Amino acid sequence: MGVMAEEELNPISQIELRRRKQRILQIARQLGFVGRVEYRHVCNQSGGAQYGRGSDQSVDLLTVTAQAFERGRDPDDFTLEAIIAHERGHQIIARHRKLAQQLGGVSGAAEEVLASLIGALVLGPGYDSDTLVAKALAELLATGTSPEDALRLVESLIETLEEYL
Amino acid sequence: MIGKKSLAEIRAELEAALGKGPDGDSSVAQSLRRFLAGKSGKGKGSKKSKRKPG
Repeated sequence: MGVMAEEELNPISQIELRRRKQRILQIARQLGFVGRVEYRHVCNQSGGAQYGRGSDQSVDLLTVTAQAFERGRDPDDFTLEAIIAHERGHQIIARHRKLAQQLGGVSGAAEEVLASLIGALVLGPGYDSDTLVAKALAELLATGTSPEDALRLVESLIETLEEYL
Repeated sequence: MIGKKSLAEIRAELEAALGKGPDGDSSVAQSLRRFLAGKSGKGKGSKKSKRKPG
C-alpha cells in the first residue's frame, strides 16, 4: 500500500481524542475485529478507515481517521459502524480459512463488493446493513453490470457468504 | 477502504437504476427498498450479530 496524501486537521482535546479511541475500539470488537485498532486525526483518501493485514491476525491493523467521524455525523453518509464493518469484511476475507481459499485471487474491485456484503452480514439486519448492501450493488452497477444481473449476483453472494460465516 | 462516495451519491445512482427498488421478497430486495425509501436511517442501528472471527 502506497503512502496516502493526508490533510492535517484542527487539533481536538485529549478528552475527545480518548473518546474517539474508545468508541472505535468498542465498535471494532463488537464486530469481531481482531488485532490493533488505531485512531489517526487526519483526513486522507481512505474514506475514513483502512484494514492492514499483519503477519498474523493479532497484529492486523484497523486505522480509523477523523473523516469517519465526520461522515458518521452526516445524515447522508455512512455511519461509523458501517465504515468499520466494511473493514471487518476485509479482515474476514483475509483471515477466514475457507473464504481466503475461495477468494484468494479476486480483483480489488470484487473484494470491495465482498467486504461490503460481509460487513452487512456482520452488522445484522438494520439500516447500517442496508447501506452496505446498497454500496455493493452500486459498485457492481458501476462496472456496467445490468441492474437485474447485479441484484441476482448480490443475492447469490449473500447466500453463499451466509453459508461460510 | 469504504471509499469516498457518500450515501447520497449511492442513493441517487440506485434510484436512477432501480427507481424505488426491486420487486420481490428476497432480503436483498427488501434491504434496497428500505434504503431507497429512507432519506436517513441514522439512529436506527443494526442489531449486532455474535459472529466469531474467521
